[in-house]
Amino acid sequence: MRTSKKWLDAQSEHKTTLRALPSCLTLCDLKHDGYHQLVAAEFPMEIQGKSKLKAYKGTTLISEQSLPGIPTAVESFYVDEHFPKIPVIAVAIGSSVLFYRNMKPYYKYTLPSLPINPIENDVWQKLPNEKPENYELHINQLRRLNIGELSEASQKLVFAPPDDIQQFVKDIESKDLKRFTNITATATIRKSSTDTNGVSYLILATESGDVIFLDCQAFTVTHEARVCAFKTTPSLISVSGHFDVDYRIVIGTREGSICILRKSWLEGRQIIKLDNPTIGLSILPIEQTIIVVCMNKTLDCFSKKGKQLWSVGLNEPATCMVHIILTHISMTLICVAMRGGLVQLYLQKHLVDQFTVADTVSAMAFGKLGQEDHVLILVTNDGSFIVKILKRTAEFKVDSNYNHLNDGTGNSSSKLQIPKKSKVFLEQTIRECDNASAIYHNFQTELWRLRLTAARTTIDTINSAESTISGDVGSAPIKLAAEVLGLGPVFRIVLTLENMAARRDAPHINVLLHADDQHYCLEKPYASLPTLVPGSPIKIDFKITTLLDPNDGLPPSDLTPENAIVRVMLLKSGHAKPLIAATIAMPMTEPLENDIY
Amino acid sequence: MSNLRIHEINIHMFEDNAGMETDYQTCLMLSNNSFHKGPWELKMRSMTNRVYVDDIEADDGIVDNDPFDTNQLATAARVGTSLRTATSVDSKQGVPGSRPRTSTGRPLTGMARPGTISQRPGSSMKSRTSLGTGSRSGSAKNIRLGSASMFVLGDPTGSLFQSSQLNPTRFVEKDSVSKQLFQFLYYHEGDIKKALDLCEAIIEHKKKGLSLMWWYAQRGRCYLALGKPRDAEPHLKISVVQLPHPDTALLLSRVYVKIDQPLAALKVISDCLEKLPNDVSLLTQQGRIFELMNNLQASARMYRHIAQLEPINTEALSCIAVHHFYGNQPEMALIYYRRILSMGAHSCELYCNLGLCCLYGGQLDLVLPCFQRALRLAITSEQRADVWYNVSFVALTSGDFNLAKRCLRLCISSDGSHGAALNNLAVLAMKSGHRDKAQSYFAAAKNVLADSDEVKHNQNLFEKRD
Repeated sequence: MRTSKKWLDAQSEHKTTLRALPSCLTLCDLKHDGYHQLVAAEFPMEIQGKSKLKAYKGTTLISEQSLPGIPTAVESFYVDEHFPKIPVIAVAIGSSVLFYRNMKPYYKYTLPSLPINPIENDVWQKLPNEKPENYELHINQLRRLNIGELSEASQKLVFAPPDDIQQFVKDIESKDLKRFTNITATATIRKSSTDTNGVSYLILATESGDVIFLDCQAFTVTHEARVCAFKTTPSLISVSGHFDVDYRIVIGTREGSICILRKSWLEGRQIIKLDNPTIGLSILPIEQTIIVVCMNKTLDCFSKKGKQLWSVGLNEPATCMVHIILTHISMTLICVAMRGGLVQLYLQKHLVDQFTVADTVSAMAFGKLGQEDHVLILVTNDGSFIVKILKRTAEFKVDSNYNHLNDGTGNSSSKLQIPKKSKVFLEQTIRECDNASAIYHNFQTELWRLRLTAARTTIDTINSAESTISGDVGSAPIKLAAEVLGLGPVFRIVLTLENMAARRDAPHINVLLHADDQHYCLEKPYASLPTLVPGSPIKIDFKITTLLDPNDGLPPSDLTPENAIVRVMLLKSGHAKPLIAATIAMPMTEPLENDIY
Repeated sequence: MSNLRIHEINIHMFEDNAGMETDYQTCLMLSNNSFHKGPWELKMRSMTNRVYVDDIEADDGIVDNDPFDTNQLATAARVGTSLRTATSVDSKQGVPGSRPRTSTGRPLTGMARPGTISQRPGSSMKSRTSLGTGSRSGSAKNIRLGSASMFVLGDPTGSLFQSSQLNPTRFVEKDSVSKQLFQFLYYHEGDIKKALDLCEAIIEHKKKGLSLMWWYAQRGRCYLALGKPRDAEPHLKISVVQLPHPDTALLLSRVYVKIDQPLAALKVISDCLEKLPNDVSLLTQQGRIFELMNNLQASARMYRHIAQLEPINTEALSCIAVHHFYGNQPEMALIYYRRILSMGAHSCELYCNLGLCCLYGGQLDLVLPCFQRALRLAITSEQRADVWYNVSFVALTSGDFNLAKRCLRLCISSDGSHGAALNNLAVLAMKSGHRDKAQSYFAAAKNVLADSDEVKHNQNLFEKRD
């Protein structure tokens, strides 16, 4: 259970009955009293249950009303400049949006009907006048059409049991034929004011792939665009900019593409095609980069043109994401909640903070709550409702401790430097193409020869024991490293012996040093070692003195760098053959001169 | 009369570079008359020539982060003016982004000169023998680099003289011998203090004159060898003003590199280049300084220029090749390495590089023959470790993980603290599901390369999979 010192645990309510999706939380100043509240649209736990729109003051429920369907998204925004400024709550359900003011319903907007297929129209015109025996003929005509493009009435007719058809047709005939699409995502965009409570338009993305900008004062559509040239279903939407000035809308679709829609475009453009479904999407207002969290445990960042800037691997699959704008330290952080309750905050690709909560977070919102400016609200799967306040003193620094853990996939986006291929390279490639089989056979033959050489050398090394690592046949392999300290004539040889075996001990090991007694004097050439256990190297040191000529204070004349060696033998009690018989090259003795310049 | 003839033969032999034979002849002469000046001089020259190493080439570069280095001027230098801050500006350079870095973040150079090899990334040169770490003054290396005591050369007459008992003032007048004596002291005996005494005595005695410029340069050289670049600077400046000799300019630029003033070093070189246009040794030094300053583009440009002037310059060719290789053009690198090969260089490293170029350039039939040769030519354990490490990439590319593991194990058996190999072994163990094994390899890799991002990253990834 990690906690972070940057956050205050203000309030938390365990096992309350708030169950919400990320798009169904919104924070607003509900009564214009400077005390921000949380409004959440809750989806029912069982199919028969009712959805509810709830308003919370802190963690106490202050208002609750039933909703006529399962909510898709909730938005709060201002529609006019009148004083006192009371926000409007918009709840998208199915194909309509319910507007609330002061938590009282005051308008219902329904999306315009989609065009009806002419064949379908034709069928419905004929049906009321037909004999019941001929119904089947017409219904078959409807069945030939794509079920998704039929109106609701036709869909029901197609699947209706034969006995009910007559009654059904009678019910329908008096009504107009209408086809509605569902709202899949919503967002708001401010008209022109940079003020947080400026007038905003509501953006509705529909299942049919349309994006509708709705002026909620007159309830007129101010702009309408397609998500993309081909049929896609938007699922996530993120907005940056102002309607009157310039804006960019990033739309994530169920098919995995990310589209961008700019001012006065009638059709968005696909900029990214992802292989995995998206969980969170956000275009950062300052950096103007697109952050995407995918189901394959990655957090990616793209430029506005769709170029991948970086990618970070996550430890667990993400459940939701929210971006945190901290104007007082001019930072934009990305907060990602993961399965198991881990919540991580990223600054660019660097992990800057993390904490865990008791259960997997299902929805998050960041903004003003109560009188605090920087509050993170977390709703977990089991219905807990946690409020965390960011400390005013909190700073987010890139900490190297966190980051090396994340480098695994982080470098994937770094630019590869590919030099121009020279003419020589092309010539060599041609040679390779021409003699492919000869080259291959030659290489294979030589590779076998190399294997033989390597094996032979290995055998030689084992037999001669002239190695710094002993063979691991029958006993634990021991690695020897030697270091010579000192300027001379007195040196100290430090031997480091390490047991490289996985778990086997190496008992009864002795060390013997051997040097030419005309050149060197070894004080204590032999040492018996304690049992070597894997993972803890033993250091042992020996004093060795170069014998100096008493006349001129120089080393003996026949001591050359070639024969200035000391032999180290590692012996195992009861074995005649040494495990290791390595040589150490001794450095030359520095001249002993007192009056050196 | 006969003596003179032998002498002539000797000079003849000497010019044919048959040092050994000359030695023998002069020894004969000296054993006859030990005060004979001609043979004595000749012997000194021949002995010097036998061990002569162009110590300007033996450039250490710079020792990074040496707490005992009091020579550097600014402790917090502005970006672009210091070699120590050069490692941080590279990100803008962009193109050779994948060039491996040394343990201190410097880009790897294309050619191993004495002093540059100890900084290879991923290898353990540093930790195993702690050569090249800051705590060593490096004076022993400087002194021993060219001195005869490094090579056990049999000397039939014993040593020529006891250099410690030599009185420099005796030679100030003898112009014909003094230079030879200096070189003998400096290069053969490695007695830099005595050589410096000789310089000072001669400069003191002569005061003025054009011939002194050589002595000033040598004085600077001695100071530099003693690790006192700031003392060397004024002498070299005097010398370079008198005569802009490339050697002097190179020494002076080396002084500036040592005191971390790369811009001043470049200035010295470009001033000298105005007088001696297209001098390859100066251009090379410029290329090296650019490389140290992390300006790889400029460095590559300089090396290209050198290769045009001198198409057989191995350093230029190999640096261009490295530039191409890490600029993702292995086929171009291959051309340059092949040119080096056709010039007669047959070394383990060259074949290894050829193999890698073939591998990444897609010339698969040539990859393994190159590596086979590299393996055959690998003598030292570092070479063996490096070749096996690179062979493991061939195995990985061909998908044979078992072979790759075997190669890496062979690499480790040659060099127990090859961090990159340990890291790769850990990754392979992780891939094949041996978690415990991977764990211990990671721990070992971390021991060797404590601040490698790669190991850290892999380990984090490994632990995250729990």
